[in-house]
Amino acid sequence: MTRFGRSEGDLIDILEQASLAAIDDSSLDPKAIQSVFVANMGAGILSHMTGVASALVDRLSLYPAAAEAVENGPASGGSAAKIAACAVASGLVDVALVAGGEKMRDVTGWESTDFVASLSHPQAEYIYGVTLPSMAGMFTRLYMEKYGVTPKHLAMVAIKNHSNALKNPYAHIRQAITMEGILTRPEAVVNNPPVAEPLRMFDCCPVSDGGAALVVCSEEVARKSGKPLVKFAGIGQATDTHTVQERKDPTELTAVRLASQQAFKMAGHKPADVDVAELHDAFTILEIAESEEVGFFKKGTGHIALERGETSLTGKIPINPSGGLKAKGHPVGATGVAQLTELTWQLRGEAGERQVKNAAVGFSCNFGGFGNNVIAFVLSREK
Amino acid sequence: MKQLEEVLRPPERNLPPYPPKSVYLASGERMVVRQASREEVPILLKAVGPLTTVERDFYDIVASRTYAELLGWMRYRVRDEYCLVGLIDGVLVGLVNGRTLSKKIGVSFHTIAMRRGLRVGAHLFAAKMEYHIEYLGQDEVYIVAESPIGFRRWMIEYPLVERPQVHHELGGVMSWALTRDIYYAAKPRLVAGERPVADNLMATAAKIDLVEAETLITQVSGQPGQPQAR
Amino acid sequence: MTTFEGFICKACSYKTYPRHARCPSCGKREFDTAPLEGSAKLLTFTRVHMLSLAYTERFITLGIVEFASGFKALGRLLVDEPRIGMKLKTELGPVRVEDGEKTVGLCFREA
Repeated sequence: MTRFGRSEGDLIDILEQASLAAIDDSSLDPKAIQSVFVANMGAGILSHMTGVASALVDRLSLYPAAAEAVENGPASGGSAAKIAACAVASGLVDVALVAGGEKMRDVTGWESTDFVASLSHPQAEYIYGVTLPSMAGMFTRLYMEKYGVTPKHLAMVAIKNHSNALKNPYAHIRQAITMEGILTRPEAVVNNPPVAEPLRMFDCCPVSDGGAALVVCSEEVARKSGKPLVKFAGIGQATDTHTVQERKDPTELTAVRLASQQAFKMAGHKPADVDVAELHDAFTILEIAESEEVGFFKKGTGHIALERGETSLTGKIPINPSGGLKAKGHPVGATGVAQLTELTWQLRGEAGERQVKNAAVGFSCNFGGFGNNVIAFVLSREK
Repeated sequence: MKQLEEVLRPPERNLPPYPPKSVYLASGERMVVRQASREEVPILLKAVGPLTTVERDFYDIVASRTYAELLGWMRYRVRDEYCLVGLIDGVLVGLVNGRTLSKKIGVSFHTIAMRRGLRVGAHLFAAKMEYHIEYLGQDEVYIVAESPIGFRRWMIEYPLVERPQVHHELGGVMSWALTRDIYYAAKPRLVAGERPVADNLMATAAKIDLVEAETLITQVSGQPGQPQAR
Repeated sequence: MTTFEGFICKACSYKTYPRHARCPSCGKREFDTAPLEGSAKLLTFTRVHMLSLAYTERFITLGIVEFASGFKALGRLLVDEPRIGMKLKTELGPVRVEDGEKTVGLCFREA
């Protein structure tokens, strides 16, 4: 992956850098790549670019490889990885390149907010000025009422993930933050202004440029690379209603639950088997809620586990060792691929200072829309 | 020549000083906000100078104009100018400046944040407004900006009111204003910090230190390309 | 004048808003409509501060409501101090102004 944050080049430059890094890491001859999947949400809107997969193939001189772009909102990365895994598992190809990228900082914060809001329902949500933070804000208010989650719990997620990101040279934000500075001191009203109440600035991920890439291949090809093997053990995906108001219980993230169940079933694993997880914390509340829906904790107790330190780097189930979307950053098309990149490094023992000890089973959850399209993965280290 | 100097030097009012305050930032660091002296301008110019090459977010024009304003103040060619600095462990993280047009009206010049992600600019801009309204006793402050992004935020956040009849001395652009009423309504949300500053903390802010110019430019423009993709 | 309507499945009476081509409950494709109007209850809300360029307000308040008729919708709250569970009345009003063009949508005031 590239350093998330502000990239100088354009989207294809970002994808190029991430792709070459993945290709070099694989030690494979690039000519072996038969299919390229590019995950991206905003090229057409933000960069006036379409056909980005074809453009990347050209940039990397990988023609005549097959290529397509995959757009699934913030779950584009997960979708592209899923499709690549399916292509290899079906035997259609032996080697695929998955590259996710986004260039979001060429436009103002208002424009990037509006771009992300384009995933909302055009008549029932978008016209009202709905933003993704506003959906998260309404969700958070209900979650707080129902389960007793407090602003302090949200702050704990942010503090933990910022701390983890200090150990991640590829994270967008590498700045420690404190409970006093963002919540309890009087200055917090300026340090941490409201975004979509009760969510504040440090509850929301930054707007980032960045790219991440994976080489997905058959076991036979992978063994030739000489790298520790990391396998797609389980994949799951589920959708839910487009509008939040139509959900039977708007505090439930049903698509997260179903996608996770599918992934665990396919992998033959349980949530308790997971050693390290990357969850989609575009907003701090989502890390808490997803940690419950994926099955790490009972519904309504994720914040208590957080309080106990169970999700810290040295806890029972480290969540977001990379810094999560909150501090690592969220170039939307790249995120799902970046989650898998982090897990791959963790399972190979290559995660440096943020290495989770003896990580053998990893889990990721890539959350599209506001939970209306979710992809879950179980990765496992193979001998 | 002494007579000519007197002609060219604007008359000076002894402005009431800005009482220093400390601001607890999100990181847990404390920023001291205090008034800079004329004697400190050379070091401020060392900090601002390198930013005149950064095109991003209009830093180049903001830094160039601020450089001229500070130099003008130091050389006694600007009337009633002041400069407030933000210091963390003595290191300069931001500065704001302006001047008084009259007893009751102030003019905001610039705000430069040299460390990002900690709302340094927001705190210092608010400190500048605090100075004009609460300590200089003014009724309103004329404000414009070079960056549309920076300006729109304050235009909405305070909010600011239009003063179409006023051509701001920064380029003659139509001015906006922060009035006393708007300031006090916004104060609970936008103005923070503690006074007095503890002696030991104030001691750290006695002398202004700078980060290396290259580091400063990187801080301000992000860190593109570092480290290399893996 | 723009109207806002909910949809009632002719086969199973399931109520939805916005429109679906197939009833989410029984899968059938024919619907009656009913206006989204009258009294409603506030289910959740938020004050949104970081808006798109279409807005010059410092913040707007959005909420999800449940109408007495059983439909649910998101709309603009014209309420200073919203509370979950509060009773609201519905009106149509401008919810967005872009390039001088007003978009009308569901707005709610305290009943």
